[in-house]
Amino acid sequence: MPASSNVNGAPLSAAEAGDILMDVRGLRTVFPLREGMVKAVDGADLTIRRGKTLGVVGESGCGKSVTARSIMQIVDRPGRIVDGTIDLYPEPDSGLPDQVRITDLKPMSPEMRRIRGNVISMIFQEPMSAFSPVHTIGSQLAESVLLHQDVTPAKAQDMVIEMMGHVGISEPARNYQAYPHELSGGMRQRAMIAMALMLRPSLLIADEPTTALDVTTEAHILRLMRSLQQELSMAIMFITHDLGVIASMSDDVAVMYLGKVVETASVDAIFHDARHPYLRSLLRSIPRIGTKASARLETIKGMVPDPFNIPPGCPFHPRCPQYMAGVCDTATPTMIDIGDASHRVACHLYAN
Amino acid sequence: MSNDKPERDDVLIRVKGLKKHFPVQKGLFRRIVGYVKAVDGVDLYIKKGETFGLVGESGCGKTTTGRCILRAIEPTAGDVLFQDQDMGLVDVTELDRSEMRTFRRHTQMIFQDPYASLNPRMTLLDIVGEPLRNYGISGRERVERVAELLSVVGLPPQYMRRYPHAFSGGQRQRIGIARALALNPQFVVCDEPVSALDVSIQAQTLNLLQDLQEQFDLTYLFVAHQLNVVEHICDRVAVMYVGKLVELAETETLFHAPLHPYTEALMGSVPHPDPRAGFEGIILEGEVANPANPPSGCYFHPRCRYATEQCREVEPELREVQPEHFCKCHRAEELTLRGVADYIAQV
Repeated sequence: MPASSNVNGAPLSAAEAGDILMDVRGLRTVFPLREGMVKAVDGADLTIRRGKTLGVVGESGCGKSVTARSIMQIVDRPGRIVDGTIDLYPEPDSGLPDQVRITDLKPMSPEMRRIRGNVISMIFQEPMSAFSPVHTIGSQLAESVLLHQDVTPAKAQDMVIEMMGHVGISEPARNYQAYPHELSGGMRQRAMIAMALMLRPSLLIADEPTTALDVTTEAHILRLMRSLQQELSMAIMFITHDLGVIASMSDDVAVMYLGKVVETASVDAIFHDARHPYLRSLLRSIPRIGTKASARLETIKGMVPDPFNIPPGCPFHPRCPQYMAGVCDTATPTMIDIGDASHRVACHLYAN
Repeated sequence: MSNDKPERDDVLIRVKGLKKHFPVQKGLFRRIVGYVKAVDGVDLYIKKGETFGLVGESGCGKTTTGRCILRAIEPTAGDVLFQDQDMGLVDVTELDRSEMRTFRRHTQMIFQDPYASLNPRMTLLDIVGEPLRNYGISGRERVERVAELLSVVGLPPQYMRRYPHAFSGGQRQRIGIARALALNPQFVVCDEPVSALDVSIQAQTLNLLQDLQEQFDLTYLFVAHQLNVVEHICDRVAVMYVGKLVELAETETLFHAPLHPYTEALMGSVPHPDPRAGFEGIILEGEVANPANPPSGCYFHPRCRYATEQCREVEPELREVQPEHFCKCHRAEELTLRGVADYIAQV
């Protein structure tokens, strides 16, 4: 994955941006709570290429969902972005400037509202949370069209029915009148995808979209997303904890731990040339289907620390099999290139 | 499964014709208008000391089957024969109250949701010690036993005065496991014990379950939907679809040479954690059948790429197609299906 070289924090020009759609640098999002400050995202860097899928993988508390919500500027109160930049480089025909610094926009400003749902769209794990239970599916999908485009309600309805059919919802004209609870889990997820894609966004953020689905339904939805991506030349930021889904969907991958991105690389390099000790341990701890190997699985010792008590230096050091005393517990590692800039890791083992 | 097979003495549990139908009631007078046939005629046997896997997608009846075996819910029909260490061979569905008390000492359950399965107002001592108290163990002996159990599952005994909210998901699952072991059971139903846990914690918990099985000579019924986990920990696996058991075999046989088209499709649906695996799965069309209104003949026929006229009209029997390999499919002998390895093309 290419790195952007805005060393001084300035955004790239359109020419420099090239195939980069979005660039996140040093993002910090915090939740000031009574018990203390939770640094949900603590200096995250990641890059999304046009038309490609960035898989973001990590376990609970790593900050992947908060990162996504920061990009959409829908972080729940009292959370807020406190540092870093999120730069969007829209498509030439989008009617937007060449470059938009999302972190400079207020969440409810007209500029941000133009982007949210239109240029960047999001789907969630639980489709019921995206839909109002007291309105029909069709009317909700049509609402997003009418908000962003100047068409008649009848035309909006036609567009919606067409999109519903396109995502594989059976009998779209009839299901237009259905309420969310009348559809199965897989159908609701398809409806949520339809809603997210109605306006042909440049970036779709998918936050654990198939985690709650059966494996046969998941296979359908993943195939649907891949084909829609091809058709719409859309980028996807695919957030999940499932390494199998990451392997089958991603072009590039970012691995997160405790609010930081610890490694980024192409999907092949992540699985076949993993460098960060956390990632390496994670890959060794999953039972691999088709290989009933040894009796015991390798584990990562200890647990993810309490978010109010993040260890000093590298946050992974108490659990790291290659911990170096005096180094890992004092200085926080920064992202370093391995070979070329497409493979980066934040670990003292690789510092010069 | 043929009923005239002689009883083997390495069998701990034998289930015959198990059914659980939930009535659907509608209207002002709550008239019964139909039944959800959650479990609809399941036969299986579990050997002493083994880990028996039960897989299937949501609504297939696997959790209900586990609960019926423990008689946590009353079966609608069928027998559950159990080789109890004190009472000998008994039919669980016919036990009276005092016999059930003995049965419940010897059988336990571990639950999926580590946040919902522990009472937040009870300390660890109360939670893990509750089974002991129910069976007359109290005072100092109880405290010592709880300390021992917590150590066995890898939790410091001094934590016993704390409440569940102080612990992570993985730790809570260990508390649930300690509770299940309190009375030295013979048999434990593990109902999706790791699916709510982070990947790195799953490994720790699976290792723990395996160690405990060896240490305490336990037999597990392992109910799960994650196929890679099931393959790792189970000796034999049964596949369920809409209340029916459609295939049962030794783990490696099921995964590499399945006989049922649904099993083949399940194996092909799991994304592999390797981008080089040229993953060409089968995408199963259609929706899972409705257990309140299932299709005619074989329940799977509307989604089956191998279905024939016979499949649409006649429900197949569960037959022993190969030694110890049972399949509920008319065409089991003629089809050559893909196993897991066939989906992973190494480049």
